[in-house]
Amino acid sequence: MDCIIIDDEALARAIVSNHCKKANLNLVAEFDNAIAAIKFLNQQPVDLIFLDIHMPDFTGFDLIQTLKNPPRIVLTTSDRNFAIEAFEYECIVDYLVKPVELPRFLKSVEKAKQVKHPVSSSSTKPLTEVNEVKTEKGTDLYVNIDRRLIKINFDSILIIEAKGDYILIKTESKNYTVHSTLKKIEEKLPDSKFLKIHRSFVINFHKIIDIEDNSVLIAKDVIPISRSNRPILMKQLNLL
Amino acid sequence: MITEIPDLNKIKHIAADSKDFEYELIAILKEELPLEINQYYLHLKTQDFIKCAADVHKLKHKISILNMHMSYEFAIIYEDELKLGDNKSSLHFDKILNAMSTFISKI
Repeated sequence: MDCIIIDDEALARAIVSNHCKKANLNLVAEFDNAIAAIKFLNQQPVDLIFLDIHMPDFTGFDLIQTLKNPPRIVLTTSDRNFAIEAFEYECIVDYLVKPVELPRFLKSVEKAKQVKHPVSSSSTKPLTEVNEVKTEKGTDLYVNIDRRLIKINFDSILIIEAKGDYILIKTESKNYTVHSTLKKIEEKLPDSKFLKIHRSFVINFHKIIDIEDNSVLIAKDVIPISRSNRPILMKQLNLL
Repeated sequence: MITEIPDLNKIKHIAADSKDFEYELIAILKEELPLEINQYYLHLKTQDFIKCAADVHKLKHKISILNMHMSYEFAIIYEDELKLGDNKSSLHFDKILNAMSTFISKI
């Protein structure tokens, strides 16, 4: 089996590389970032990828979503209890906790060999960390935090702020940091309540206390409005 | 809170009977750990706690490979705290990083 390793940690790559030799896998390349790996994979398909999830800028999940026809993938992670997200992608056959031990690695390779090659990208639809569930009483959002799906009522949300690879969801009672993007959560939110007013902020415009020239006040937070989004916000308001 | 003493037992275990591989892992660790620690302190200084959380996440692998079980559990909690913008546990994390740095400088 031809395989590659994608991991920004040299120590992790060294361990997996060593195990590949012991498992008689043909390690064709190693990458310390996902972008370089995508370029390689566009030229040379492989049978198996050992993929680190947490990499700066472009995560393992970002990579999977980029690949049209992903091969079998074994995730590597520093989270001992990581699991939920992994098996929402059909191409992911297993996950390994770092530092990866050889017996566990060999089991994973066996698992990968037994799994048929995933054929279509449509069957590898990603699990979003944010899932919408419509209930009879209204619409809620379920977010994946520490392996628990936590329900957040749309009406309780004040602001959602982009924070690198995460988003911060501020509600009336609590704040939640979720591994997701503003774009993803925006798709799950009802247009009748939420609006992106800045590249880093989505607001529940029903929660606005006041608006100044280029900012809105929601609870105790002053949120900037980008010039291009201001007209869209103004259209949503019931102006006297 | 007691700071654990790192050891090489896990590295030896992973390297199995290969002394060469053991030395290779130690050499990488000696090179990579200080860089990761520096990165963490850089983000801590600028109070970029989300990036700090990502740094702690990365450091968990090094903590684990140095066989520091309690410190690993502590790092899990600290990483979650940082994601919520809270760095109150940074002082104890300093001690863990110091213990690791001191250890790798002596091997």
